[in-house]
Amino acid sequence: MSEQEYDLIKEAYKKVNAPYQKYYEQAKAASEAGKLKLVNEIILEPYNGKGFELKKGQVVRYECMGGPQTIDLFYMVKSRPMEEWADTFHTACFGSHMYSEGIHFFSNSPYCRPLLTFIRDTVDWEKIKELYGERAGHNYVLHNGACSSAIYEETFGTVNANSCHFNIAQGIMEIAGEEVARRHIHPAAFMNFQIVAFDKIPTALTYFPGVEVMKDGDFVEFLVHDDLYAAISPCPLGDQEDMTSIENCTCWPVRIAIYEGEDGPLETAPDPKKKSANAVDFVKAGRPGMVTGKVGKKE
Amino acid sequence: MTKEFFDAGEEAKKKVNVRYHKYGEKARELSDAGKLKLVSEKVCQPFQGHWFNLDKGQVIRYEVLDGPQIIDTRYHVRSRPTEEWADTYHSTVMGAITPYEGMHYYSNTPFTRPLMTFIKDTVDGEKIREKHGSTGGHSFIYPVARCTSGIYELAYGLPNHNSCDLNFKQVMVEALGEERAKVFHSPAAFMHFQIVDFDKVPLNVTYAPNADFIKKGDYVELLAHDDVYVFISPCPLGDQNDTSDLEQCVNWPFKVEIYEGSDGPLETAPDPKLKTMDPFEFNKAGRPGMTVGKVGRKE
Repeated sequence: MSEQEYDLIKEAYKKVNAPYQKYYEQAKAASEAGKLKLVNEIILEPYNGKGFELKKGQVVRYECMGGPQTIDLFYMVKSRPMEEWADTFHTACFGSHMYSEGIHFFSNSPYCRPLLTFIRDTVDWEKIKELYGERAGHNYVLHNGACSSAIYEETFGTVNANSCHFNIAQGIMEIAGEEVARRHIHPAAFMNFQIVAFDKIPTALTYFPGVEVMKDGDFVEFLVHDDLYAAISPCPLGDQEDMTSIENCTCWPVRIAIYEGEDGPLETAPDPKKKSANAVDFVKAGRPGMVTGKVGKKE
Repeated sequence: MTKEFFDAGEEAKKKVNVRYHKYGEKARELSDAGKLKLVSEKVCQPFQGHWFNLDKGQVIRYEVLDGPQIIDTRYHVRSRPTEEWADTYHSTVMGAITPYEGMHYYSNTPFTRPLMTFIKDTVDGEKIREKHGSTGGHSFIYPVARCTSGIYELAYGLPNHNSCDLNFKQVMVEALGEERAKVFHSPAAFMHFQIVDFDKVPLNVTYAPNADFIKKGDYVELLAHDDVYVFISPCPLGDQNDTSDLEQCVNWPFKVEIYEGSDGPLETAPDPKLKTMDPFEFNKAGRPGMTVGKVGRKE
């Protein structure tokens, strides 16, 4: 892109994220100084999804136990789980497909506010880049993504293989009920501890082995900006060391630890209370006051 | 240096796509030889959604008229529109995030079959890559992508700006009814005529002006493998030549044409009829016969 061209994504990134930076810095500082107090912990076993609650101002930590286990996550606002959730489109627009410390998980339209902030990551990024290139990382979003049993059947011929789609559905059903789970037919998940690079041409993903990079006790942490339901899946690709068949993949438990500040919940981002309407209601109302650009004229 | 590993994504692509390539190749030959028969055509206006019934074996063409208008497209199986649609996750895993001639748009789990094949693209891809590098393109997929009014309010401060999300909801209300439009999550769209470059590190997209790359009469064509609804939104970013102010974005009409072979519908990919179950029913049934890998043991 030439210097004169307006870089919409870059400009939006700068403008939108700036007001929320301080909450990231404060929570990260509290975590690094050991000033967070453990309030709950859950051990996630392989091949099973789990649903759990997070409260506004808490910090959630996902920690490798024994080996590097890929996890897929989906977050919904507890007070309206069918209407507002952490949205990979808004998050990628204001962050990246490969997210790192400081990035916010924004909710869907019309809410568009930070639901979580990624505050800490102990995985050795330098080593990832050294081994797998500049475009590699271990936290990412794909397109409506979470592995599915059908794609394993298409690829490996294995019927009803364990998948993140199965496990996330299980997790949502557990914490929010079947109606909510069915509403989120195929949630786009946020992945951690999965070494990938968008390094193919045309642009596509490569999945790399994880053992050489991630160690026992590595963790990622997120600050929670509202009361949430979370659904987690341990991906059946496990540590990605051997993906020649589903049966050969090795999976590991993961520790989920929930923290607060020493004196209670941490400070969180305010709700910007957007004025844009729900899309269906707006369409039904005849799109009152809809803003548009210009229509081109043939020369 | 990258150590030896099994490239699961690449192997899956090789193994699965080969089953379906011949249908796209045959359709492409007929298109190149001028042996497709026009069935219908329509000029579509900016700032509103459009929808079409596209039958199995037909080819849809999107054509640039007087200016290079970005379009977002979605495909839903007519017999079960809220259950099966062209899914960007499966399509990306089996293809790329910058769709190309020969790539298949696979449906979601548990169906996961080619619904569309991208057969022809007259836009000068070489010219795009000359300027923007190997990650440049004009057809692309983004996580849960279609622009939203919420994101425009967040980035530009304009509530209720026209957006692809609004336009898709409009056509969903028209084609599927209000109830289904309200409860159904909008899947991610497939974009055309939008110059992008996945050049940022960490990975993200740069939107570049269309002006120098897409010319009047350029088109893309896709073969339909089942009876589908086609939902289209002209993106309010228009020709993307100036995105510094949404009200300055210039939008253009575009043409949609539907073709068949001279003797009727073209040959299409067979339904692989996968046996993997719906995730909710499978979880409720206690996951009978679920396949898993191995659990790691800490040394």
